[in-house]
Amino acid sequence: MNKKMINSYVGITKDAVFKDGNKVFSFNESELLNENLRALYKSEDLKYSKFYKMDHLSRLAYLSSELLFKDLELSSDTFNEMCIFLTNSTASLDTDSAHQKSISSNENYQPSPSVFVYTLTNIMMGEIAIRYKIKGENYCLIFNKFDAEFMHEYSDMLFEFYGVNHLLIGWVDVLKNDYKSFLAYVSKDMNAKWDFNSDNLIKSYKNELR
Amino acid sequence: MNTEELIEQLKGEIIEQLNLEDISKEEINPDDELFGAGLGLDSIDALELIVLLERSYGIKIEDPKKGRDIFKSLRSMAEYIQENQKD
Repeated sequence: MNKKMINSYVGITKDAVFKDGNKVFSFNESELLNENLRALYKSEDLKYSKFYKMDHLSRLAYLSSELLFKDLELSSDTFNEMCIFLTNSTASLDTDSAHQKSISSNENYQPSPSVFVYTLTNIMMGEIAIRYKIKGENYCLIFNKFDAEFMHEYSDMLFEFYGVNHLLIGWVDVLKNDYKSFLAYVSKDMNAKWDFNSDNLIKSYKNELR
Repeated sequence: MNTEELIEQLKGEIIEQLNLEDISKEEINPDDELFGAGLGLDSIDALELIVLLERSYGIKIEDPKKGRDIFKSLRSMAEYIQENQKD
């Protein structure tokens, strides 16, 4: 079995943003998710107007991917072949709730197409795929909590049996003002920093890998 | 309300409804295309504009084919509202 490596990873928690284990941005803990993500978007000097149209889940995933890929200088061929495998615990419930609220009464029946369109986790992955022209398969599985062992085993299967050479893997979870994102880029690049295994996945999820 | 005043009102409504937070009212030319090269709106935005017309102005677009002309620009949208809004 060929060895796989974690090239880089990003974590966004309620108080800070980490890249490869180092804190790169601090949030104002008293601010709500929306304000913090906007502050991060502006701090990174990003110009991607679609950001403002996204729901919270997609914004979190999109920003995580921008931070992850910004210094890696990956080729279009690499993105072409990349597969996305994300997990979370609440699927798209944050936006599902907003949509449900808009249609819950006959007197105030005001569904919004731009809200409804985000009531699937597929859209979060689609936003990243559109941004980077990623054309590999994508999966989002729902777990009670971050399951490094399953994620590692499933990823191994993708690499070994489905010919995947580049993988964007992670956990992106949002419900109201409770959120966490973790994205890692995994490949067969032997010059990368960390072995791809469940221990290192947990350490990087906890931002402890340096 | 005359056409120019309605256009100004629509600018604010569109920025809010379509989450165009990075665009100011002053940057929107009333004669620019709303879709494509102009404001760059997409198909979901088109649905939001249809909802906006119905919710804010009580106008329901019965023939979807007319949408292309109605939503050509802010000015065409304002003129359609003026022609079709019931007092």
